[in-house]
Amino acid sequence: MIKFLIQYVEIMMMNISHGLILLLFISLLIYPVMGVDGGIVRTLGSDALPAGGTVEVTLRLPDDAIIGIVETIPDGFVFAATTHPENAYRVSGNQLIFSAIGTTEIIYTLRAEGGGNGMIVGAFEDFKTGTAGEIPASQVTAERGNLPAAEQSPGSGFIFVALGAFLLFRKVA
Amino acid sequence: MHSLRYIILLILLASLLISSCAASDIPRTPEEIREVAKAVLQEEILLFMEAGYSSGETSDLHRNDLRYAARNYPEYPRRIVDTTGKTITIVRPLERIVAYNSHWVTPLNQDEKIVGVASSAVSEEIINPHVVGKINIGGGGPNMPDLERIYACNPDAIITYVTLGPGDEFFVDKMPKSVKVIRMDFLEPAYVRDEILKIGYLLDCQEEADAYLAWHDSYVREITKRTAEIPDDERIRVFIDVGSTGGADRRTAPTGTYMSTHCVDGGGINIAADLITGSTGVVNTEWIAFENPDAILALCYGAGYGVDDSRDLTEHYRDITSHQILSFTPALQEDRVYIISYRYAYGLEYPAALATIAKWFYPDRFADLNPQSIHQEYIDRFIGADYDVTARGVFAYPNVG
Repeated sequence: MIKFLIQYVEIMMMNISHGLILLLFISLLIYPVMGVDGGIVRTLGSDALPAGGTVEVTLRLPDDAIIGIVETIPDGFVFAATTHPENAYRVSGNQLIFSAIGTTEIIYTLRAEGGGNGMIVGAFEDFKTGTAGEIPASQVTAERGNLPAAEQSPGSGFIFVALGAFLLFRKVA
Repeated sequence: MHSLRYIILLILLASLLISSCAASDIPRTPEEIREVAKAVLQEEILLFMEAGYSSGETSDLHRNDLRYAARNYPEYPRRIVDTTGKTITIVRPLERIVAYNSHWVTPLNQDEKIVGVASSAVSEEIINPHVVGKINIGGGGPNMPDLERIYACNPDAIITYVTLGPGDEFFVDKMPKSVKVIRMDFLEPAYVRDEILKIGYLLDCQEEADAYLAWHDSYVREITKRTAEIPDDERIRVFIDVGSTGGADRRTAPTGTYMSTHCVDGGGINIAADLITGSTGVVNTEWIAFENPDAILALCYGAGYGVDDSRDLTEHYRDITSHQILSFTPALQEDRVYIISYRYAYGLEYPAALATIAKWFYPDRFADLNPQSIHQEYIDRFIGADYDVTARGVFAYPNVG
């Protein structure tokens, strides 16, 4: 199996267009879901988490915005932390409510609990422009299991990085 | 029923005195205003989003309010707690105010924001230049204002009294929710400073508020500093008289009332300070005679700027001195019965009234004070009317110069 993969990667490395496709594929694995609306963009550090693992969610906002956001997180995930000021967010069940004044980024962390598969959906009100709408949903999956995050097997992104490093080493040698 | 209202009023006043001590964190600088605006807006956005998209309670501000606030940020929103303890949040400059209580309008140079005034202010137009060209909404004293005229003003806010005039059942219940009803007295020495600071912040006239307070403090602090130095055994014992209730009974003013504060700030001991807490506010002249006061300080609901004869004050004086039972008290024996007009004692000119009281009580200690000149300074600096207090109006009896 590993031999087959090595051969496949070697072939693709020789072909630039295939290489670009691979790069795109890898980047899609790392940044799988991006939603854009009202100038708000949601990005996830990963879309698939081991049980107990965490994912960082970033909401990028327009400059000088005065916005309210409600993020609804799927079953199997819980809010873990945020870098947003304490008096500018609330957690209500599976909903995270943010107010953002003049900030361009909200980062929060979710933790996978009990496994699950679902969408993060968001709604926003931009009080400066008078617009309201939805932030496109982002899919996120959590494996079932009880292992702590540090003991999980490496993800697919890690495998590709390891393979790349191995091939590079072989060529140099 | 009447006594119950009096008890409620006393409790309210006592709570106001306590709350005013804590209400000193009013934003003054642009940075402080911005900081408060951000905190309020953040909080209100959270409440709105929670109410609209989650399962929270109803938010105080609606979508349009938040849009106005966002457009006017960082100068707005502005938030105060009024003298009744109610939180008032405004999201844009107030431009159409019905000032049922308008003591503050001209001193803070806010005439242009006023659209309606009480007829009690109109009746003293000579000293209230802000009433010119405004809608007279009626009211004042025992009379109710005219609701239709208030509607005609199309106000964005009504500023009215805490302890006088109609209650929320009139102003709040009958007005659209968008009309802010703000209650402040601008009468009670114990919390007038906070009220001036709050209205200065709310209406964006901090400089004018600061100018008034600098004048206010220069006299009030000097007077209270001097009276604080008077030894207890040299303080005069005072009966505060707020008029007759018929027969041998007199109404008085316990702790927590404006006149009691004036008396104490002027260095006197209010002999009825604690006597009638929770009672009717009425005492019998026998009790007054038994207490043997050194002086009687009386509040007269007459006289003022538009009056040129002293009949109201002298009649009140005679009403007190006609009680035979009081004739043996030091107050009457030494002719220390002092009558002051409510229009002088209640209002932003009250530092002059306090100077009058202090000089009545302790003529030697306050020989250098000239209450009339303090009063004239107030008129010239903060009212701007062509009005000579030595030639016009009736404010105190006997006059202390």
